[in-house]
Amino acid sequence: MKTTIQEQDGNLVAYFEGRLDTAAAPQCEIDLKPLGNCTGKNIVLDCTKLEYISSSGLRLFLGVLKNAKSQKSHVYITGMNDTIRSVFALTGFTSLFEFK
Amino acid sequence: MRNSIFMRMLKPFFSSVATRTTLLVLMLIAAIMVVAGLWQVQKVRTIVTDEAHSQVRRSMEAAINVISGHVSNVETAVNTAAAYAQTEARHEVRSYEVLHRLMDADADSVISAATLLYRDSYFPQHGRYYAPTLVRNPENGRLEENEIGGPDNDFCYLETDSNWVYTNQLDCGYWCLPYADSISTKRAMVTYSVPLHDEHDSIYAVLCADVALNWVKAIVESAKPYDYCQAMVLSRDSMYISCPDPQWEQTINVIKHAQQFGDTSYLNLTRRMLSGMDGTDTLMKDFSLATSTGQEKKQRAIVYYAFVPRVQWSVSFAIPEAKVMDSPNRLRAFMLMLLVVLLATIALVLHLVIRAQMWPLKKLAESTRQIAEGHFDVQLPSIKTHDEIRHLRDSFMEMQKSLARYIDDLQATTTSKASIESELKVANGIQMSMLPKIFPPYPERDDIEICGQLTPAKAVGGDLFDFYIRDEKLFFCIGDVSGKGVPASLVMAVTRSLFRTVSAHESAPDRIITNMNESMSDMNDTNMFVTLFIGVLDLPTGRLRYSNAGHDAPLLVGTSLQQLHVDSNIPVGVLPGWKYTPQETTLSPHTTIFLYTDGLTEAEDSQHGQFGEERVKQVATQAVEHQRQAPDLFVADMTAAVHHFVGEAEQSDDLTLLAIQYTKEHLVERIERSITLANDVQEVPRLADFVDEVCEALGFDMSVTMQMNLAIEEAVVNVMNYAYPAGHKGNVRIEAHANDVRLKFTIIDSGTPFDPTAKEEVDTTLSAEERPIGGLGIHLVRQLMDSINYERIDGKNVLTLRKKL
Repeated sequence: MKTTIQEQDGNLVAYFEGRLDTAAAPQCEIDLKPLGNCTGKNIVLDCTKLEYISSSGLRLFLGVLKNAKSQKSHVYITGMNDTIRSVFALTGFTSLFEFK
Repeated sequence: MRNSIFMRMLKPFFSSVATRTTLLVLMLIAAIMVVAGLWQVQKVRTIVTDEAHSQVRRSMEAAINVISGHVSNVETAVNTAAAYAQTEARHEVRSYEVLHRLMDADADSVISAATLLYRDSYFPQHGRYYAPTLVRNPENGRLEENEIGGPDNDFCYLETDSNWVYTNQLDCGYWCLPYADSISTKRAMVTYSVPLHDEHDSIYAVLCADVALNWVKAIVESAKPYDYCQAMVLSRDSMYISCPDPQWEQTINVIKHAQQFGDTSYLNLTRRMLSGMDGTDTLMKDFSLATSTGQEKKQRAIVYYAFVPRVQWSVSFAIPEAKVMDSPNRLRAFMLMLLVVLLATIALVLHLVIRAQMWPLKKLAESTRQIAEGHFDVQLPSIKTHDEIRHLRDSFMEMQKSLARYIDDLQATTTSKASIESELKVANGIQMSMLPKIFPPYPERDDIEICGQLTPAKAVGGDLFDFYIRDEKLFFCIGDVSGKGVPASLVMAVTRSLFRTVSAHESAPDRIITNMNESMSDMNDTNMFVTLFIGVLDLPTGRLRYSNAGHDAPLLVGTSLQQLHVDSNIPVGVLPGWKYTPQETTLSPHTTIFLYTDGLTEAEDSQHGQFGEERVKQVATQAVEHQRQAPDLFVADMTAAVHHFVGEAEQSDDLTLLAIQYTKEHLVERIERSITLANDVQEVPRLADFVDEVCEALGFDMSVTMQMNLAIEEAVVNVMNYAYPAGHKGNVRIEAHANDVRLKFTIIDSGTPFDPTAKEEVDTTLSAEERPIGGLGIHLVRQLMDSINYERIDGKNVLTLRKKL
């Protein structure tokens, strides 16, 4: 599991690659720390290469969203495959996030 | 027939109070007047009759007095003359002087002739018969001397019925029988004679006075009190001296006449009259003057008669009775007429008066009828008088107001009743919707068959049953709330909701009941309670855990009939803090557990006999014998039996039947794998490899494989996180089994008892800010797998996830 964060066009973009399962979640949480201060910037979570996500991953996404909302920033998700989209649908997350 | 038509015609006439009252009063008045009138007429008749009697008697007495006076005068004159003549008449020359004295002494001038009849050859110079006579000429009243005796005229002496003969024989004064004066005047005559004695005291002459009887008729005719009165004088030889028909005088012998005509009453009367009696008699008499005696002319007559002793005549006055009654009869007719006129007048006046009095009543009746037709605002007629009708009107007015008010109330009540009824209907709908409705409820499952039915005695009832499958466990319950109707239904709804709520996080039936009891005892102000049986059937194993709260023990209908042994705990809601005991048994496949409420055993027929536990067992035994354990068949049999027993009687209590059959078949296993992991999340990749391997073996595609991965990871991580205390090392074993129907993962750990299925479901509709971070794991497991099932077996937590292939 690999997580990278880049600043692009004034947005913070997080790229996920591989399986975001319970085992990978603690490292990923550390990797996402830079998104903590996102004032004035929107966040994009790029899931193009994300293969798998469990509830631990979803919790991280929800944490990012809650933090961003408190700083009046938007969180966009891009590149999600159908499998992961169905997990989002099962948990009601599709109505929380904005998708690109 | 005619009578009935007549009565029908009269009916409306008599239905009027005015007419009826008038008739009644008229009848009363008529009766009184008729009685009074009859009495009066009778009285008048008596008075008139009495008056006629005395009048006639008085008249008759007067007549007799006059006649007697005349007779007496004649006798006096003759006797006086005779006293003088005793000696004087012995001298021939003095005989006329004697006669003159006699005629002079006749005060009434009734003596028409006086005669001296001398003894045979008393004066030889005058021959054998010498009878000097002095006759009063009827024309001029002069007295003419005559001598009627002589050799050629001896009738005075020779006739047997002569004064000469009788006076000589009797030697005293003698009145002869009346006779017609054939010699001189041809008038009715009578002669009084007295004897004259010589010095030897032998009779030498008889002094006679001839009396013409025309005055007798005049006296009686003038004495008649009424014109219609007929006066008659009868001589002692029953010849008429005087009678209305002059032709009869001196010609008719009444006795002979009566004998001839066979008129006994007349004959008897005549005999009485001539025997010297006075009296009154009633007989039929012909008052016409014609001589014929036709019966048809006779009428009732009253005959008064009295005797004149000296001459031995009988004077009689006859009056027709009808004539006497003339005036009373006229009075009667008049009174009758008066009565009719009076009654007619009274009828008219009375009818008009009563009609006038009844007029307000009639108006009132019309108004009342309008009120009766629903026009409550009708103005009642105003009554000016202060009488009973005014009272009636006032009472009606009160009634009208009360009626209007009452109808308003009634409408309100009816409306509210209708609304209550419709609410009850809704309540019934709600209650029924709380119960499982679709049978068979789990057509996709091959391990369970259920049939249940609830028939409330009222619109809403206090029975309940429920079941649902959670985590491969069938939670079911049956209960009976004390009482019936709306209160029971409310408690039923609460009980059912509590069952669902509590059993959502609690799989042990004893704890479910204990929890429910706590809640229900706390809020039980109305002291209502529920008998309840809760069972939790582990579908994979057939293990049945149950707890009973005072409910009827269910029957186990398998290859034989058994009663499930239940502890007798108290019903739910009675006592807070009661610890309900857990019980357990294992159902062998194809065994039906049959639960019911006391509405079954206590179902009553029309003689109040109860269906009873024995009959329930009988039906169940027959079901065993006929292999009819299948829930739908079993419930149908039981229902038919109880309906047949109850017959036409009204259902007395709610009736609930619930039959659950465990139909688990053991299938051949295709895959059986297992892996044991440490309770560390870093083991998750190993787990993923294990799941992938199983999925590959079953030929799942990428998407399903990922779903399985996700579900198993979430379940296992949950166990790793919570089964063991923090920092405590332990193992988690994962077994995978699959047959042709189902894939099953079993996660087993030996940590502290922990039921992840008891966790509350996350709400996926909340916004980002509201949503808690945790709780997603089990939610995902439930979403992805067909069932999740927790059991604590032999000190181990056993979590089973199933996915249908």
